[in-house]
Amino acid sequence: MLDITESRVAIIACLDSAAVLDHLPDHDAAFRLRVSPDELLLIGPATAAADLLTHATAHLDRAAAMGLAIDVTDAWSVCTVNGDGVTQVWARLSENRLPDERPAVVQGAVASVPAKAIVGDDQIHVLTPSCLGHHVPHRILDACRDLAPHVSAPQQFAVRGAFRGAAPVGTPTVGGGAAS
Amino acid sequence: MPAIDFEGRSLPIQAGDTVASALYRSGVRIMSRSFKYHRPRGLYCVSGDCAHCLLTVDGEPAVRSCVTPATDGQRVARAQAWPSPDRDVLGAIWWMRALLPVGFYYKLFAKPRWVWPLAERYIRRVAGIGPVDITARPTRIERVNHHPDVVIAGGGVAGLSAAIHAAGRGESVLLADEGAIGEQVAPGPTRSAIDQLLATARAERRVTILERTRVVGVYDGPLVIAAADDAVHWIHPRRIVIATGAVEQHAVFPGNDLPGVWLGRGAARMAGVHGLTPGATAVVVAATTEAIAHLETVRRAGTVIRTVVAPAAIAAQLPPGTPVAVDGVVVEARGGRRLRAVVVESAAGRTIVPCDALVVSLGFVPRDGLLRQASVAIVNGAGDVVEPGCSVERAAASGEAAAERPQSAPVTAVPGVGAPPTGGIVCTCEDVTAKELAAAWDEGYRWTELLKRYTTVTMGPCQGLLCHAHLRAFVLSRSPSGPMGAPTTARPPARGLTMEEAAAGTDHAIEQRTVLHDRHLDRGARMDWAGTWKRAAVYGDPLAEYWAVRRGVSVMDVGTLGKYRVCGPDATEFLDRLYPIDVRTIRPGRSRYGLLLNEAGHIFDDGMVAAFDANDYFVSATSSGADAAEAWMRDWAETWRLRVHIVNQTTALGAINLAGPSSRGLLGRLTTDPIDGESLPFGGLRRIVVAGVPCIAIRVGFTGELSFELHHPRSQGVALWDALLHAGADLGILPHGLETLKLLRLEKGHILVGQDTDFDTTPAKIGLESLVRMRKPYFVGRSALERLATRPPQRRLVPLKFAGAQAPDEGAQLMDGDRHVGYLTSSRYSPVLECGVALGWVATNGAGAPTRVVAVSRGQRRDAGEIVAGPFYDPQSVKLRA
Repeated sequence: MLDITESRVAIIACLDSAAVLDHLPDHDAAFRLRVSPDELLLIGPATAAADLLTHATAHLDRAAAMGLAIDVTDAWSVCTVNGDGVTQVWARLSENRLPDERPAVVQGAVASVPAKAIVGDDQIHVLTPSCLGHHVPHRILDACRDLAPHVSAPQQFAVRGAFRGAAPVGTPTVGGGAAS
Repeated sequence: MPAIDFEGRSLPIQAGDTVASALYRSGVRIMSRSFKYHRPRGLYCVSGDCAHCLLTVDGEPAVRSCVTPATDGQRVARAQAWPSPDRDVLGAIWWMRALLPVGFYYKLFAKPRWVWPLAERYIRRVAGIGPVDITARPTRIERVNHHPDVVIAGGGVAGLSAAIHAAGRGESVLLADEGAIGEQVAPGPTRSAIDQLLATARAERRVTILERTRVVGVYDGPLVIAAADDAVHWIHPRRIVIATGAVEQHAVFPGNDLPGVWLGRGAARMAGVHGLTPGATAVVVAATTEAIAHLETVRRAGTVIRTVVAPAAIAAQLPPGTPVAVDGVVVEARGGRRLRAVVVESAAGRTIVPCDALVVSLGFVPRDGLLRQASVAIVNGAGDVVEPGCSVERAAASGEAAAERPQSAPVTAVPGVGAPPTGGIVCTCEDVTAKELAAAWDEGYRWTELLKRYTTVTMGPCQGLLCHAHLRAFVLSRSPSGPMGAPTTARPPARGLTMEEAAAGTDHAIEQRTVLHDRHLDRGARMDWAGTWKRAAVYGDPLAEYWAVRRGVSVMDVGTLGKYRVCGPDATEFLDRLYPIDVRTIRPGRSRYGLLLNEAGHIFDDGMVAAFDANDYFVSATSSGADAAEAWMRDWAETWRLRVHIVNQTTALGAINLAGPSSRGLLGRLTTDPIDGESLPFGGLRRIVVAGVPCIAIRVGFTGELSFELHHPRSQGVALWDALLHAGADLGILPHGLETLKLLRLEKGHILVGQDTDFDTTPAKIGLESLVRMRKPYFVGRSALERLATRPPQRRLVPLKFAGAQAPDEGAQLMDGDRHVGYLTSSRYSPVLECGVALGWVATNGAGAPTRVVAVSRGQRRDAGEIVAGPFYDPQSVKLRA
């Protein structure tokens, strides 16, 4: 069974020096995605948006005048694939190797568009710029017809499996640590 | 009974049949005609290597029928010949070949010049290996990526041994073979070994086997591409093992391509696998021990062996009673449309042996195209491809060694070279004879690579597999010690690839869409590409859209604009260095139009710089230049090491431009925030809430009318759009598209970067010197502009007016009398001014700038125009500043 859905998400971009971001406290509802030394994304369910922004702002404001926390949720679209066939879906859409450990984060092209992917147990969240949000589900349905994908109603963002922050493959890892 | 349709005839097929074996069983002996000389060709290698059996199958030309499974209902046809390939009168070309010397297409039909188009049309009709059905619907093929530790090309003894060994070491393995593994190997020790190894490999969970999947290329990366019927596999391994085996050496002598001449493995395959004899009577050339097995296989199938031509060592191993011509040589094959006799020369003299089959086993050449493509040191060869003709035991050991050899120097095969060809067809794919090679050599083409390009030898479907060794032998026989006989370069694809396969996984358009995309479609908009975006060009009546902006109120989706938040302790310093305008004097709540210049002082983008607060800015860029602008900003921020954040909000924010004399009135219905001319003046910036949607409102004027650019969270774009259209219904509000915008901005004299500018456009050339503050000590491009200021521009972008009800074409050439002085970059008919308005480049050097020009459009239409002062519409910007 292969299930495709839109995940309702909140994404807060935290910009500051690497040293400050290294010590950003965890938030129970957020997955931490370090996209570069000076930028970290807090990703959680849409219902936690305000809480995440407050959390990040409070920390960055205390740490340095350089810090900026900004809600960039609308910049992203999250397509979530659940089911046994997620690795087959991934093989058809991306040249990047899926790490063996779970959860994992992969940054690079998916369906020929720039993307970040959060990989859980039998689950992949594909984050793409919202102007391309229509493209990934369309490509999955097209490229994976033989897997009989089913489109279901939008859901709140959640990562299956052990819940840890991660740096995407190919990105320098600076700090990190468990989110919950 | 299952059957295939062969040129209108229904031919039965049996289980295990290939297309070629099914045809052969039904008596078809001429499988194709040759590429150039229309010589009849029969089955030869039966391993998918030569071009003899290329057929059109289900509309796809050049299908290797000897390795393609036959299926019920297949439509099969041979390449075009007249009246048929069986009786092709164009075979007469062979007898007229003296008129078509090597490289004839460089020499003939050149003069007079009109001859070539006629000749080309004829050549295209008679040459080739089958027509492409241009009415066929393309099939979408997907790309599948794999990341094994080891990829193995070839499922013979060596390949399977390598797979099992690598898996035993804990590595993941992907093995690809172009057929069903083992099916084309005649029963015997090799087949038994393959069956045993295959069973072991299938039981190994780390081994993935892809059958009927041909590896076509090895690239840096490393990346291995393999094509199957249902997918194209992109394989990203850590190591590569090439075990593609060997093919029997192509025999070159007069008549060597007649139907009835077989390579030994091919004949054995037909006899042993399909139970079909290569002929009723045969001559067998046996130069290898393997040939003895082939001889027995063919004999058991029912073929009478007339003579075996063999060296003494092999002759001694033949069964007693076998007729042998010891140390003989086949010097000619005779026949018309098929083999009738073979001429054997031996110590006893010349003998003509009547027969209808000649089975040739001279030795092996490696199937090493993939191995020679690979330049990376993680590629190893195994089995026949590095030890042609090796035993089963050696192949297995070689495979295991290849699987164990990480990061070693590449093991590449060096094709052996034998005696040079003296007669017959060297390259059967391209119809290149031994005499033609000699002629090309005499003309001065004396390297393998030059001969390849001049004669096209080795450039056919087999990519030199059969003829490469002969080419080298030919060159080395004439230049034994020089480098001229070096192997030619092998390039992908090693096997044929359809255009659909080449496009696998990429044959889809990627549209960037704003959140209002569906709203535009609902209104019947024509969506056009604008860079990588799909934007509404027109909603139906562009004139109505135009008057809505000029006389009432209109909305436009400008969510595609590049949008950035630039903030941090050094944000002002950063932007002041980046833009030629004076950013330090932009007060909070105000904005300023700015050009982005490169180091040469040339314009590459433009947009607004708006200040929220000290060191906190909102910056916009053009839709198609947004990515370049962002990269430019980040690059400089890093170079200058300034404390600044650049947050790309292009996709996070939507934007709607509300324009027209009634726009303030409409906006006032939806907001309680102050938007009067004092609170939000022209160039002003204010955060307001419109219909419950938080917006950054900027008073801009690209259309030339009172306008409010409303930047808002993308997720609330639809609500804002609907609210504006609903609230403005009584005002006659309409949305306008790109077509209308291009006219509106032209009337106002605004440029479009990229359309009105060239790669070397400076602000001075387009009359925007006022946007450059040369008194600033530094900005990107300043020193270049300083130098350029000493030399007046050779041309300028000027506004032009044209009388009449039609404007000249964009791109129309501008003439001053007989002198060409420039061209138009933008041109439209202006409904409000009732004349044509345009921007164009005009030369200002030499005889001086003209004041009147004639625009010459396509079709030689001529419009008299006048260079005027801009802008055309509302020159004092009274409307804009309302």
